[in-house]
Amino acid sequence: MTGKSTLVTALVGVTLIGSVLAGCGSAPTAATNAGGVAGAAATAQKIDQSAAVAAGPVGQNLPSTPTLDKIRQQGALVFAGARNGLGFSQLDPTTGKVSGFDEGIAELLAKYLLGKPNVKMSQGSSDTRETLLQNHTIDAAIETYTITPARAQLVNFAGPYYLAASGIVVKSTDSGITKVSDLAGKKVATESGAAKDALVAAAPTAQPVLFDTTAECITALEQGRVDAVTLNNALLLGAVATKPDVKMISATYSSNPFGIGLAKDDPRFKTIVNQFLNTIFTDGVWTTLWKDTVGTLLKTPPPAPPKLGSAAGS
Amino acid sequence: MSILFDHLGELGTGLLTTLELSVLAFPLAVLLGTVLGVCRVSPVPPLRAVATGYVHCFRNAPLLLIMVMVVFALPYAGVTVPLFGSVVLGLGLYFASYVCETIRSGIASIPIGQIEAARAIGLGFGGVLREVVLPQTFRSMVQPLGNIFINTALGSALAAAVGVQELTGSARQFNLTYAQPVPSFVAAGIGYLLITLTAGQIIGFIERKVGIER
Repeated sequence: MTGKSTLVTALVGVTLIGSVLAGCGSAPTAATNAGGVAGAAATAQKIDQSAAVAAGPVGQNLPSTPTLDKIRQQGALVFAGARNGLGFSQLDPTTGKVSGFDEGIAELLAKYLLGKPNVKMSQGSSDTRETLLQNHTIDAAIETYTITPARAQLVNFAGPYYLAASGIVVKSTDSGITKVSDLAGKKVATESGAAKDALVAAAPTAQPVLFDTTAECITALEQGRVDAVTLNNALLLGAVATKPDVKMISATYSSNPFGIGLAKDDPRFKTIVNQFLNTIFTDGVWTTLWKDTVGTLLKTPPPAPPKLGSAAGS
Repeated sequence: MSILFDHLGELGTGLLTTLELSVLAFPLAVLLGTVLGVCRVSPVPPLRAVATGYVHCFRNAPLLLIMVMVVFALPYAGVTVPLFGSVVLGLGLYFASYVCETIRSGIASIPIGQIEAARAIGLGFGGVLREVVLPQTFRSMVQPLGNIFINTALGSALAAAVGVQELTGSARQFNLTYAQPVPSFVAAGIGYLLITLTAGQIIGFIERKVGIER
């Protein structure tokens, strides 16, 4: 009797787990997500910063600074980066390679400092990068890091090296939202940080709903939890490329200056990094990198590189 | 630091959301967990199997996974619960598995003689549970159930990942705007302490009131 009831328990348990798993497997969520991942992987394969890095400059007669000495001793640039920003810094789980504009900037900077593009990404979350820079756990933060005066009190910013516009994604059937002011009073999915700040500045009555990843924002829109999604437009273009039920509206707004975050106590290192940016701005490497990464998503002519020091805090 | 005091209101709103999440999710967990616990000791094999399966599924999955499933997978099954409700549901479903096991061990601690005596005076399964077993179970399980409440309050921090701006989310948002990681997370920690220490006091008080001297 005991044996029988144990068997029944086990069987029902297995059936339950099985049905839960089957439920997940057959639900459209898994199907769409799988499609999205495959699509994203295909798009990600077109993004390749290696040509730009190969053409990148090597710094000559660089002065000695504490950070540079540390990087030389390590033999690699340790930087805070992201793994889930298509176009900027996207990890391909099958190859383990990270591709994108930010990754390219990091490799180019390492090449400029060391002669070879040796980088080590520490997945510093956006919560802690100021602290990691202050205690020299990382040498630089290159992860769609918006220059703001408040942050500039704690860290040095080289750059800006990229000016990001915010884009808006709505359902394909939605024709009521055509510009940022139409977001007033609407629920808008976004990520905390620069994207949310830009939204609040442009549409103060919009209700931001914060998620951790672009994919979650888009899913929330598909499920009708929010009326729109707003994020950096290159990130969004990558995310909506494979989704037929959402569309990107043509209008963009705001301009977030991305900078390279550096330790506050080494101002001469900031000068070196700005020299590096100036070099790649003028010799065309920046434009090549833009075309090979963000440009494959945006499909517009490359913009002129931003002006160094043009953002408050840089 | 002073900038933190200027924005205590935002953190206060987050603290209130955390409190609401815990106070709503905990009764759900106790209700569902008690039903499951009773099922686990019931004489009906299918009920026992369902409750055992439930506990195995929910107790052995990370809470974040369950929240993401409730928020993003349920809508594909045709059920779209608002984000706040989804988090309450996720917390309730998850901690019900812990309540179930607590109740089950509480029931097991009742001397078998009492149950036999209750049977002897003519009470059925439901009557034994209602009149003899469950009242004593709850009285001896105040402290373990209190621990589950504290875990619910702390677990609600994961709501920040699925769009509900509670205490941890508010602290993160404050930190991203003003780049003050240490003060903002210490402030959030103090907020959680406020909830958990108060809960601890209340649990102690209830236990002194209803606890069984053995």
